[in-house]
Amino acid sequence: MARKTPAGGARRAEMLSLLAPTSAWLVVFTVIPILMFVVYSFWTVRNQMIFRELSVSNYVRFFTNPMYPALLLRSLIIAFGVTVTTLVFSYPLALKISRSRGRLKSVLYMLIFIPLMTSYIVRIYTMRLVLGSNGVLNNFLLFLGVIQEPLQILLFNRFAIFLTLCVILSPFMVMPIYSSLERIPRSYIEAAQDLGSTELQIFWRVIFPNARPGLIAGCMFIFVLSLGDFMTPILVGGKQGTTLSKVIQVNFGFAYDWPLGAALSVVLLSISMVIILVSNRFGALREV
Amino acid sequence: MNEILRLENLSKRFDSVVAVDSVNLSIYNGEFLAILGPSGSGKTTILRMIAGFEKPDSGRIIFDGEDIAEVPVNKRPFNTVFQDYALFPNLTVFHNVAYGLSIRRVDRREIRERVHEALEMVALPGYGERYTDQLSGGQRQRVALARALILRPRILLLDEPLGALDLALRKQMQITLKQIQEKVGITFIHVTHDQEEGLSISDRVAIVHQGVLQQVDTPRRLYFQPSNRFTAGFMGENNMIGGRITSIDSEKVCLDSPLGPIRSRQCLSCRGLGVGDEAVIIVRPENILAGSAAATAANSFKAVVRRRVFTGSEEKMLVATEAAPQLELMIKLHFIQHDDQAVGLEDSAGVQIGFSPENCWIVGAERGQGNG
Amino acid sequence: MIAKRTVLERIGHLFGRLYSPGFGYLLLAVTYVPMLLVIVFSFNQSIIAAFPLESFSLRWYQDLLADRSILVAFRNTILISLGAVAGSLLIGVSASYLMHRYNFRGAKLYQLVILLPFLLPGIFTGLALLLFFAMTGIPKSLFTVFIGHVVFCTAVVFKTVMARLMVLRRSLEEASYDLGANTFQTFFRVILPNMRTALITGSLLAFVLSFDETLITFFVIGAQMTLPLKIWGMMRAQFTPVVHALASVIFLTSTVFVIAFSRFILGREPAR
Repeated sequence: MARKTPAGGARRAEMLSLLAPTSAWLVVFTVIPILMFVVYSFWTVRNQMIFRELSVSNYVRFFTNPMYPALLLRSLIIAFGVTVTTLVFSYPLALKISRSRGRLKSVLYMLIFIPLMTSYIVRIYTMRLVLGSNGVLNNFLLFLGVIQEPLQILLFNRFAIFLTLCVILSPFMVMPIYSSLERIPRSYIEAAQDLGSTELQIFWRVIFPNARPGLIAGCMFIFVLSLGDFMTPILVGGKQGTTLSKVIQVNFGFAYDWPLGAALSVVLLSISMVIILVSNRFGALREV
Repeated sequence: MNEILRLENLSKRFDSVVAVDSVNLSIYNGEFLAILGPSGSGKTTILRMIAGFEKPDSGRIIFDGEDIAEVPVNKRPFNTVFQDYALFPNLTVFHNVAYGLSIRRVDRREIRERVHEALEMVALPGYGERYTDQLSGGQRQRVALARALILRPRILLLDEPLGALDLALRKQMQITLKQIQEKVGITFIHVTHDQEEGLSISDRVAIVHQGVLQQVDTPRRLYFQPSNRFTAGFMGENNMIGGRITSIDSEKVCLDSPLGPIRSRQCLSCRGLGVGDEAVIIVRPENILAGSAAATAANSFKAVVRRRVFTGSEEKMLVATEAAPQLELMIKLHFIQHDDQAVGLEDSAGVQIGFSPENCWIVGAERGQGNG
Repeated sequence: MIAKRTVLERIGHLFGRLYSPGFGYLLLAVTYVPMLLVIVFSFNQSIIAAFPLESFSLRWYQDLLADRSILVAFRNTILISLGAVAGSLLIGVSASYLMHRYNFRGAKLYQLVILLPFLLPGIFTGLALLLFFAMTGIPKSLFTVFIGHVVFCTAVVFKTVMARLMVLRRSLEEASYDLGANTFQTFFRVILPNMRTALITGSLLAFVLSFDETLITFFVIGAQMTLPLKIWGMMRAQFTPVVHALASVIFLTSTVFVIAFSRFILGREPAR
């Protein structure tokens, strides 16, 4: 039983000498920025100037202008779709890696690790290359004679965003699930086998429950990252593929309505925070 | 013998659990003291409070006339040998042993000399350049010992240091510890749950149970004159027979039990008992006679053999008296002293058993009538 | 008699067999094929990124090396990443040691604040910092990028080191104190050496994550460029296959890095 010795006397001084500077850094560069962010969302822009009086007009705009909730819904749907799809494909991969041994296992693990360590933007680019009407996939299908004309649906729309996000974010799902699976002691599975369980039963009763924290962590990551990503919609979404995050970025760009952008971000941020906190309840953060 | 450390009314609780309850203990200079008790008895907590890793909730720790309960670990003149040895994996044996000296900025030449001396003392000369993961359990233990002793502490604290060793090595290390202690002359306080270990190498033993100090005495007196039921039960194997006291005088105590009337000598643990009180009489298996010798004993009963157990060096028999068949008693027969009749006994054979009043004690039926 | 499998069980079993490796490898393929194609095209003579391939050519790589702006961006990125590692090590190690050793009120909140920039998508951290810099009048520059990266990478170092500290045996620290050392000496002589692997892992992770960081950088950068943002610019602008070459270089660097990293980590036995 590891008990932390309580701070007292000279120890308190020691503790504070660490706590003070680190807290100062955190407050200045994390807490205050986030708070400012929230405050900003209550300001408005008039005549190209930021008007620093508190008002909820940005939020009112969010709810009354039907475009914004629709965009939010679209973003949520995409995020949800990406989460589910990546789950379906990542789980078996994580399972496979976990079950492998030796060389195969190290190789597979590295194969998942490499995309994580490769520039995100490079990976978006590779998808754009493949999906374009002049892209490789189309040319391949044309070549095979499966289609007569290049498929337009592959790129510059919501489906493209969806597909790209699935591919790009899947390592973030595989990793936590894999970690969870690795933690299941072999003896659990062997005991279940010894007691006569079928494979399906073992899966449901032993593997699945123990892998759940990793699963939830993975879903949390994917969902939150999908919501917040704006580069993918910009690069592969085209006109049709506008998401709320893209609008936010635009507001900080040439649309120059920072308060509105902040308000929209706060909406997204709140949703993300809720998801993170809820996932935390299920132990997701331990797997991260 | 003069006192080097005194624990006064020392108490400690963890959340709602009382780990150490008002312990009063004097420790004398140069003695080898064992703190003995079952798991969870609080013995380790007591040691950790002496070392300074835990702060007592109440009570004082008097050393050199001052209460050191507030003094931090690194300022106390004591050193600890840990249960897992706690050797630093990133340092060689030499640097492990030298650690305390280098903290104190002793000069290099002196460090080298003293480390060599320390390693010689624990019979590990020349091991200085090895890393700790290259050593066996016994070797690591000795390095831990050297590391602590090199600092010449006033008291050496040992937290179940022999627990991880196999039996043969353990026995050897017990002797080594005793020899080192005698040579160096430092006070050793040794925590263990192994009763045999506590008895064989210590000058005195303090028995702890559920945070309460039961008895502190020499091994011999603890074994033959336990002051209460727990101590009596903890040391060695025992037979316990419950009953009610029928008479007490300065020489003997008489008890009425399911076996019949039993007579016992007056003893330390009978203090505070009166006629009519519930009590328990304790007889060690090696003190119960069987066969013809039993007939002449003051407490003699007819019994039947239930089972025999052979453990190599001794033979034990489980018997039950005719008067109280539900009560099983264990008898030890040493091959040297066995009775002709006892040797040939089959299961269910009748046998006469008996013991003298000198070889049993009476304790109160209530637990914890301890006197420190 | 050992029960035979029912039909349902057989189907389930077959499905399981197919599902596990099958879907898994499919995912791997979909992840890697596009990247491999980019590498292939980077050696393609033609500007058009399509089959059939023209002849093998290194011209895009030559153009890459000739482009000063790319090299500058690369230099900037390296500098920032090294700085980010240093900064996040400083804060991350301090914070995790603090949490490990002392009980203090608000520890959970403290930990959440550290991890937040990592858990949330870069857009939030980036925007928050953008607003902060704007309001406090700090001009956007490589320095602000450095700050943003430290904020982000600290979480990674913190987690890695924390995980190691939690399994570090308590008795080692206690032994150090017992032998007369103070907290400072214990930290530098006992704790730090025994978490070397975690420190290295944390540093490497922080370095790579900082090197690739795009979202936060996007918002807080000034006039200069980091490599990922350079690619972004190239992707928005007129198309040139130099992008392929650059992408391939980055990808191959990451691959080499991961392989070297795994060898290094797997090759060492962690200190007990």
